[in-house]
Order: sequence, then structure tokens, then C-alpha cells
Amino acid sequence: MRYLRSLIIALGMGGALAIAGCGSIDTGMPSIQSLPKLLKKPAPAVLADEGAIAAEALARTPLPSTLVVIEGRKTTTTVLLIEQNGIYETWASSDRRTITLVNGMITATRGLGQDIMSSETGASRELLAARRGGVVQRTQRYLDGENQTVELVADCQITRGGTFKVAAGEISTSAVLMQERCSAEDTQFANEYSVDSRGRVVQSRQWLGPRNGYITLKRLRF
Amino acid sequence: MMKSSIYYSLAVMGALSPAIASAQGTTISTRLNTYGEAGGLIDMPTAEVAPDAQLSTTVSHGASSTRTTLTFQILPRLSGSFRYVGIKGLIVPGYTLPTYYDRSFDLRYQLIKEGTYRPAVAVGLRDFIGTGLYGSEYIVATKSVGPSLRFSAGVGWGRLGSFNSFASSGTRPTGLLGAGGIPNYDRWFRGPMAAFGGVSYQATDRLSFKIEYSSDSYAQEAASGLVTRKSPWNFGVNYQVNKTMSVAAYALHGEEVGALVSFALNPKTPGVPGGTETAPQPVSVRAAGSAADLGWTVEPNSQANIRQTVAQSMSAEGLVLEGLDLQPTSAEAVVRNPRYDISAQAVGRAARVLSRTLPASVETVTVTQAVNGVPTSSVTFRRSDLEALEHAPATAILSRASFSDGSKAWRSINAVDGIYPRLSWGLSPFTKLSVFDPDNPVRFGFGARLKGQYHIAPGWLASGSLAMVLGGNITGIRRVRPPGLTVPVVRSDYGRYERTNKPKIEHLTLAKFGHPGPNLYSRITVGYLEPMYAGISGELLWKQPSNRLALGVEMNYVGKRNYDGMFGLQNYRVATGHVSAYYDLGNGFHTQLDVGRYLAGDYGATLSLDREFANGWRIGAYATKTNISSTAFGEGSFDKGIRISVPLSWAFGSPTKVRSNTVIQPLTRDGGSRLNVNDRLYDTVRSTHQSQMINSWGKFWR
Repeated sequence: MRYLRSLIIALGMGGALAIAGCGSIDTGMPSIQSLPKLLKKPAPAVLADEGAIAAEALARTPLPSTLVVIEGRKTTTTVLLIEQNGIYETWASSDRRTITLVNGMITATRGLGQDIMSSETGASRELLAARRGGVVQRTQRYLDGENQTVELVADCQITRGGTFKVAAGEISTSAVLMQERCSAEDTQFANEYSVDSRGRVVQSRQWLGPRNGYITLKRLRF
Repeated sequence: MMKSSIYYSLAVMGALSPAIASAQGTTISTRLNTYGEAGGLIDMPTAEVAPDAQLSTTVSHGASSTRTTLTFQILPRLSGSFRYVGIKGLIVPGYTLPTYYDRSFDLRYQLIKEGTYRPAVAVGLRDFIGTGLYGSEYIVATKSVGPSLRFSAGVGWGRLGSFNSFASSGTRPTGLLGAGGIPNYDRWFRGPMAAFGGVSYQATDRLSFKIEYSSDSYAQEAASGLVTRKSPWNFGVNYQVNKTMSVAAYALHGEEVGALVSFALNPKTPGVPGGTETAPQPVSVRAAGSAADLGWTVEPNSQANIRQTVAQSMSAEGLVLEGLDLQPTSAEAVVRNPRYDISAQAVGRAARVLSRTLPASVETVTVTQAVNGVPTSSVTFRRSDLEALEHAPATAILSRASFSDGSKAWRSINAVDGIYPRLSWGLSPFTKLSVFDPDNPVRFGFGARLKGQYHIAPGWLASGSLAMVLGGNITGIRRVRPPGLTVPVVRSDYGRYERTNKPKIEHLTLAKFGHPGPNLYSRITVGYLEPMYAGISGELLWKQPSNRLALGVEMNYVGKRNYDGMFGLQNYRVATGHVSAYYDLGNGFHTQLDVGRYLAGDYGATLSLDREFANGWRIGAYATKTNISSTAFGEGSFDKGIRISVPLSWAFGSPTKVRSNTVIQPLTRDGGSRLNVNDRLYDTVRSTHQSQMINSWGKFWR
């Protein structure tokens, strides 16, 4: 009476024994071809030579370019302007990650993980372009673990700082440093923008979110 | 509006989630006790709850008992547990093996939330189905004092009323209802009752201490000489190793020591929220005035050239263009989606490709998803809306989209050249796990599986899977059904199908999928349908894109396959089939009712209930009762089980349609058994339908 039956669980995942698959059906496992890459240890992070990366990118294309540094990941790369939709400019890296900017302010990212899906930055943008301080509210939208849109609404104080010389790639100009200090409940972040005399953001350091932290953008060519 | 919820998801993604989330409210605890229940004590229950949707596995060992418990926080205040226990040396009449194994199910509901002065109160049932080794009921209150201290006190019946009882509520029956496996409702809250309680102290984020007064006399263990219970006091310390894992050690009964390890995860918290997949191609905005230009319609080969461009851009997104109906101001693309488990993302990417590739005069854009060559759902946009709303919240484009069932495409769109016929294949390793066999409670096997799919024409699919076990001890299952039962052996001999080390045909079928009318979908499959049965299976599904209710009917005539997994059949033949109703209850809960004839020729019904998460996780339970009596069914009385389906995209952070499906069926018997046939319509169709797409619509622009 008390003998218990056993049960077969076919674990599609294959647990720790899942090594790799091959073929044209998605088995959910890394393909044989990608194994060497997966097994290789990531190279130790070295401080990237921004000048060399910028020069190489500018030599490669006549398109507008921007240098991107994601601090938390020790990643330095360049992005090119690939599409314009009204005021929104979409910039792409060679590995298909994109950043959407409106006059240098990040409104969206794609492919960075915990992407900013969309933003409301209108008031900040106007103050920056005018190089004026003020108090604004901005909204960044993310997806949560269930793919639901969640909003981070931040109250920000923009202040005008000193004038500095900024240079990167083909750009060398004097710019005003604008600071944007934001708080949203228990999250605080501070963005910085260098704005030239025509109201253009030439360089910036902006907060993407809790996972990605800060990103630095340096315009290399208009 | 949804402002606060990001902090929840950000908090759990970031640092260690706090052990005690709030002093008031739901009284959440991430600690698990030796019974695998949320709670800060040791053997005794508390009124604490786990974070909503937490799924945990706890293995505890002490006093010759090893308990493995799977617990799911079904709702914020309701949790359920399934436990498998092995007690070495327990003396049980009629049981001969050295280790006694038993399964148990628990439920707990938090009746009252904690207030400033009021404690949280919960009521619970332990081992409320079956033999009742751990059978007990309790009402318990828990009160937080400051951020680190929690006091619990309660009253228990059954096992929890067995030590130092102070009163009695009637007589507690000891006999089983049916052949076990039926809720022992006649015992609940009856018999001697006793008080228990304890204190937990959260010393740091990771470390906590607990003391409890146990009302469990461990009578059966003591009678078997396994436990000497010198004291009702138990002491414990718990250490949270990381976000998922914690360990604990105990001093029990003044005599024994025990240890515990637990793993907890939450379906709401994936590796990377939003995923790490590469960026979509952005929308391309048409130049002002270009929409009036119809010049392309008179150019030679323009249709073919455009179709080729669209197909190439789609393939850069991992999508396959199956057909394109191009008119001067409208277009409909039929798209197959082998990559994205979230359909809204596939449709969003397809729509952006179309904005980049279609002539400027095309204003109405329809994306139709095809599954197994059958269009199942169409979403229509104004191209101007796609252009205008690319950088707006996803709800903006949702309010402009219109949904239909895709049947227009089935009638009018021709396939793109070169899409059919098409062969795809895959070779991958697999593992199998077999649990609950008392001869060997955990068996595993690993091997290689070769799969092939030949898409002959739209809706026609030849498919096969060949598997070979290369190692492990799964081929050693020898247990057979106890003698004396008369129900035909239709599933209980599954172990015999596992005994071979030779290649086995898991399935080898030819299927025809169709869309015979509006909101109607059909499937006919013939061949070796599953490892144990071969024959013919036909299905018809009625499902509207936005209706919560769907109805289906399935009829099969099958024969039982030989144990060697090759082409031969045994003598057993049966006609089996069901009428099914599927209903979306809302808030992520789905239910299904199947009524019909089962593999053993028995008639009955299966009721299932699943909690589904928008990211694809599904956790549920089902029960089947047929006209086979509980005596004829044997131990367990009727068929029931728990099922868990995990989308691998959740674990890996990049889109894939592959999922890991696990069914935990405590007893595999013959009554109430169903055929397992691939590509049942409801699951293949519904992910493309409006109600499912809206759940994850945030991914449209991802």
C-alpha cells in the first residue's frame, strides 16, 4: 500500500549537465560554435585609451560620432548617429546597442540591460539649452521583471557652473558646466552636461539606472 | 502611478533583500523553517509570509528525518507546500524498506495582517492530504517588536497538539479516507490541542537566532527509537549566504542536532529586467510629402524587390517573413517568430522593420503572426502612429493598435518563395530526473537528443525526436504497480520505457495545422505521438483574440507502444479525448477544465489552476477524478500534481522560446491519465493573442 511511485521529470533545461547544442532548432542552450567564447575568461579590464578609440572611429566614418564610456562595466566604445525621428536621435554601437538622445540628453537606451524605455525630459532640456538653472521634474521609464512599465519620477535642481575648455575628437570649444541633481524617493543621482555657446551638449555624464550606473558621452564630431 | 513599484524591483535586483521587509503589514520573512515554510522558527509555524510569488526549496535534516519541501507563495497571504520526507528506521506497520518515505501537502493563509498593536494571524494545515504523518492544524499569531524581534504563539492540533495538550476538541479519527490522497477533513482541528511559540531575533542582515517551545512530541519517531525527546525547547541559528541561499543549524529536543539549506527565487525577479538582447532597428520616418508618391506601383519587379528587402530586414531581427500582401496604401506581413518568447516584442520589431522598408505610400501596416504556418493573430497600425509614438510610453501605441484573428491572411496571402519546404534540426544534451521511487528516491539520466522538423508547406509539419540515455541510473527503475488492481496499465509502467540504453523514438509525427474559420484553429497529428503511445490525434479550438474564454475539443485513437521505444505496438488500443474550457480569471490566474475519456478508458474531468506571470513563468496544480473508484485507483485515490514552467529567457536575459517544464506528480497511476501530444493548440495560439500580448506590451518598443 505504501510503496511510492517514482516520476520522470524531463528537465528541458538540462540543469548543470547541459553543455551545448548545435543545429537550427533553438534548444535554449549555447551553441557549440559559441562555446570557445563562453569558456574564455574575460580579459582583465585595462584603462581604454579614449584618444585612440576616438581617432579610429573618426577615421572609419564621416558620420557624426560620440564616444561612450560606461563606468560600471569599464566599457569604452563609439556610437554613430543612425536615425533621426523628430528631435530624437538614435545612436548605435557596432554591437547593436543604441542610445537615444535629445540634444545630448539620454531619453532611451536599448541593449544595455535594464534599459531606459522612454523619458520625459522637456523642462531639463530647455534649461540646458539656455544654460540656465532651475527646478524641474523628469521621468524615466523602465521594464520590471514582469515586463511591466515602471516610472522613476525625479525632482531635479539644475545649476549653472563655471566655463571650461572641452576637447574630444574634432571638437574643441569652451562650454558651461551644468549640473542636474535629482532625487526620487530613496534614489539620488547627479548628471553633468557641458553646454557650448550654441546651447548644444558637447559632453555629459548621465545616470542610466541602478544597474548600469553612470555613462559618459563625449561628442567627437558634429 | 506605478512609481513605487520600481523600488521593489530595483531593491531585489540590487542588494540583498532585507530579511524583514516591514515591521507591519504582511509580516514578510525570507527565512524558511524545517518544514520549508516561511517563518523564523524551527519546527513550529509562524504567521509570517514569504514575499509574493517566492518559490523555495528547503532540505532539512535532523532526528533521522530528511525533509525536502517546495513552497510557493501563491498569493500575498496564501502559500502552499509540497514535501517529500524520508525517515530512516521509522517503524510503520506493513512497510518493509529501511527508510520510510512519505509526501505531504500544506496550505497556510494569513487571516489578519499585522498592525501597530495587533499581531498577524495565520491558519494552516500541514500534511492535509494522505497518510498524515505530519498531519496537524494550527492557528498562530506573530508580532514584531522593533525591526529585529518577532514573537510567535499559537495553538496546534494533531502532531502540533501532541505534547502537553491543555484541552481537546472532539476525537481525532485515525483512519484514511479512500485510499489516501484525499483531504483528511474529518481530522481537521479535532483532538488534543497544545500551545507552542517562539522568538526570532535578526542580529544582522544575514544572521538570525531563534528559540522555540515545541508542541510536537515526536511520538512516532520516539516509538521507533529514533528520537529521545528530552526537552520541548529547540534552538537555531540561520545564515543568509546570498540572495537565493541560506543555511541553518539547530539544537533539537535537548538531544539532537539538525541542519538546513534552502534556495529561494522569485519569478518576478529575472536576471536582467528588460533583457540584454541587442537593440531593434529604429523606426524610419518618411519624408514630408513622400506618402503621395505611388510611382513604385508601376515599376517592374517592385513587389518582388520590396518583399526581398523586407525579408532581409526581418531576418536581422531573427524573424522570418512568410508572406507579404502589398497594396498601394496598405500592407500585411505574415511573420514567423522563432526567437521572441514575448510576442509583443516580435510584433514591435516587425513593425519597425516595415516602417523602414515599405514604400512611403503605405500607411496601414498589419503584422500577422504565423505559428506552424498558420496565421493566428494580426495587429494593425497606422504607420504615422509608429513614427509619432516610437519614443512615447508603450501604452500610447497600444491604444492605436487594432487586433484581429489573422484569418484574412490565411485566405489571401501567398508564401514568400523559398520558405517552404524547410528543414531544421538540433542536437543537444538532456537530463532526466526520476524522484519518489522508494528503492532510490532520486534517479537521473543524461543523454543526447536529436530533433528534426521538416516544414513541408504552410501548416504541414513532419517532426521527430530521437533520444539516447548515455549515463545515470534512470534505466534501473524496477518498481511496478502493486498487484490486485484491475485498471489497464497505461502509465504506471513508464519505468519500463526508461530501461533501454538504446536510441528511442520519442516522437515521429506528421501534423496539419489549420485555421478553418474565424476564431477556429485545427490540428491533426498522426504517428508516434509520445514515448508511450502512437496513433492519431485531432483537435479543434475556438478562441477569440480578446475573449477570456476559449473552448476546445480533442479526439484521439491510440495504441500503446512497445517498451523498446521503436516502431512496434502492444495490444492495448483506446479512444480518448476531451472537451476543454480555458478561462483567464484575471490577475495572472488561469484555469482549465477538461471533461472526457482518459487513457484507461475511464471517464472524468481534470481541473487545473495556474498562476502565470507576464514574463512567462507558470506555477500551478491540477487534479483529475474519474469514474475509477479510489480503491481501484490505488494509493493516492485520484491523480493530482504540481507543474512549473520556466521560460529560459527569464534565466538568461535574452529572448528564447524554450522553456523548462516540470510536472511533480507524487504518484504515477493509471486512472485519469492523459495522452501527451505536441503542439496542443491553446498554448501555441494564445501567446500571439491580444490578451497575452497586452500583459507584456512594455516589450513592444524593446
